[in-house]
Amino acid sequence: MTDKVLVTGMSCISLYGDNVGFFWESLANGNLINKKIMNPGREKFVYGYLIEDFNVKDYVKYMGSRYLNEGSKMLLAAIDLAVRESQLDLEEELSERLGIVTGSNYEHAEIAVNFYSTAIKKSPRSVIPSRFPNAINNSSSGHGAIYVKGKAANLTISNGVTASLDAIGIGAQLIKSGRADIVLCCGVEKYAPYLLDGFVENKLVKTIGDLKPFNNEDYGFVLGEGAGVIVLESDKHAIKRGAKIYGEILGYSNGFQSKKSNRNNVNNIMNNAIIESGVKKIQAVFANANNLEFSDHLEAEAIKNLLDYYKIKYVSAIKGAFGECSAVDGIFQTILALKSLEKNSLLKSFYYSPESSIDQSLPITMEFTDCTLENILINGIDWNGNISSLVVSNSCVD
Amino acid sequence: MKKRVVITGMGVVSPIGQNIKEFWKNILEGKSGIIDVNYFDELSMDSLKGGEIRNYQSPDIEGKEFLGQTVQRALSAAFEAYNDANLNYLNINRDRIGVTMGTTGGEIQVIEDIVEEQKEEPYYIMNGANLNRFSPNKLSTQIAEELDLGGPVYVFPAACSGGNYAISVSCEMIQTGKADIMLAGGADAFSKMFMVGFNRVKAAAKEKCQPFDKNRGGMIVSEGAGVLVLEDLEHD
Repeated sequence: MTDKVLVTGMSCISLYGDNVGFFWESLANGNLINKKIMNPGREKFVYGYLIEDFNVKDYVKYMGSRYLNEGSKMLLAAIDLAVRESQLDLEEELSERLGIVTGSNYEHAEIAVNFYSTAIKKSPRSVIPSRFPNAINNSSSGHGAIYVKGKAANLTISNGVTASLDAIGIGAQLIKSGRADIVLCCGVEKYAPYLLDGFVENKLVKTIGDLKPFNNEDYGFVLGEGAGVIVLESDKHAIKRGAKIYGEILGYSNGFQSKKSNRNNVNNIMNNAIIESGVKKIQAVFANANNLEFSDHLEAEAIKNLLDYYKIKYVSAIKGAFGECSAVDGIFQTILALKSLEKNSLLKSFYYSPESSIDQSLPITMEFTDCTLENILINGIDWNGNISSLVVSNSCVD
Repeated sequence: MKKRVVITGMGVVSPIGQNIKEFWKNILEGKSGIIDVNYFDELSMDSLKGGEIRNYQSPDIEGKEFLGQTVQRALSAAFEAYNDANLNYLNINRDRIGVTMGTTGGEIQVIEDIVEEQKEEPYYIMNGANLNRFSPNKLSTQIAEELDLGGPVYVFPAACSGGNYAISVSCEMIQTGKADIMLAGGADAFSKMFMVGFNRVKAAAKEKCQPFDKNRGGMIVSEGAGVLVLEDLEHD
């Protein structure tokens, strides 16, 4: 059993490159990257934030990497970066005490289509056998576990937008319960082109315009993709090996919000995470705020309810800079929250418009803001009802 | 002191029974649910055996035509388990009840249907209804929606270990006080893609699954759902 769960490493394969410092600086300086057409040649364009010029061989040597799906390739690269950055010696570390938990939703779908399409159009005997395991949703986590020789846990979570916040929550619990010393909490998302029409038809994504957080008129997000890792470690293990500490996981909660119900469970989940953290003040909320009517209204109401009690001073809504990255979203938000704690400053809420806001009284960051930070609450809310909240702190950082 | 976690309800959908009573009776009688499945010709596959449920009795709920086959099986098992545990009393705190489900393929049948319907199309279009069916988190959120639950919800697509992870995490949710009651289980509808895949990786038996047999031929692709109700022994 351990007292504290610390963050001792982080990495990303993102629209803003493979360096978390550069990711932060780009957003801090307002150097946003433009969206690209995700489905060229189609009647209804879908704009999204595409990662281009990525080659897994620039990062890792892994047998059979050419057969992996694109998400698995990005995740392997992110894992390699995280292991290096946290200075984990995989030869020295006991693999029985190293686990991996991965948030993943759709990244296996493209290989599944190609695999089954070959079987139907040609013959089942025409398919390449080694493609089959990569057509299943646990493949990225499995390849990651093989790469780091992690045996304590190998778990995939498909909880939509909250998937990688949940990977951090479950990873922290693995350490707290004494079943692992280190857990690589991962997220990966890559959308297959043939999924995109469904997102448009369901009015989840915009065919034009930006992701505007807490907007009362213009709903819909812009798709994003990528991979990322947060390295969690027990305090005893981290201190013993002299690891650099970026922050601490203090609280986590998860639940379900029905679209039919009039009770706001987002409020309960945020509150439960803060209660578990034991803190009295939350200086800032990193909002889910992905520009969907269902979740933005509930979240705005929940934040407002908790604003005074927890003395929340700021709400930062940053998905406009990189889109709704679904299963990797929680990792990206956590990385940027930890950088905010380190720098004592908050990012601007990109594309937020007070004139068309759901609630103008919310303290949403209009500019890059210097402030004293100790605890940040991070929210995730999926359109199918998953809710998660995570509290991170810098109280243990020297 | 760790909280004690007890099992207070069970539900099942399988090739040898679509409820606990039938399932138990048939397994005691040594009945097998493995049948010939005829989606492929003999030359294209090593094994044409599968555990496909015939005459599946889908749950009687509004809008089930918009749900995937795996979610429907999961709902059948969840409803049976929920009723078995007598959870339908009025003063129960529904925000303290959660759902965790394991799976291998989730709603992979959605992809199979699209590929088969559009053999000649250059684009494989997933419309809005199909995207809803395919969404992997629906496996737990749909159960929470139908039973009006607000507690922790997870889907673990951890293949053969998915159901065990669901039970393990659910147990821990109760022990750590994050929930009083958890519905924990697993579900997979029959998948033709998985028949192809397991045949191609030489993991499918030609006739029968023979555990611990030196002449074993492999596994048989099957389907079903099972849900347990886990409960804090002393919750309010």
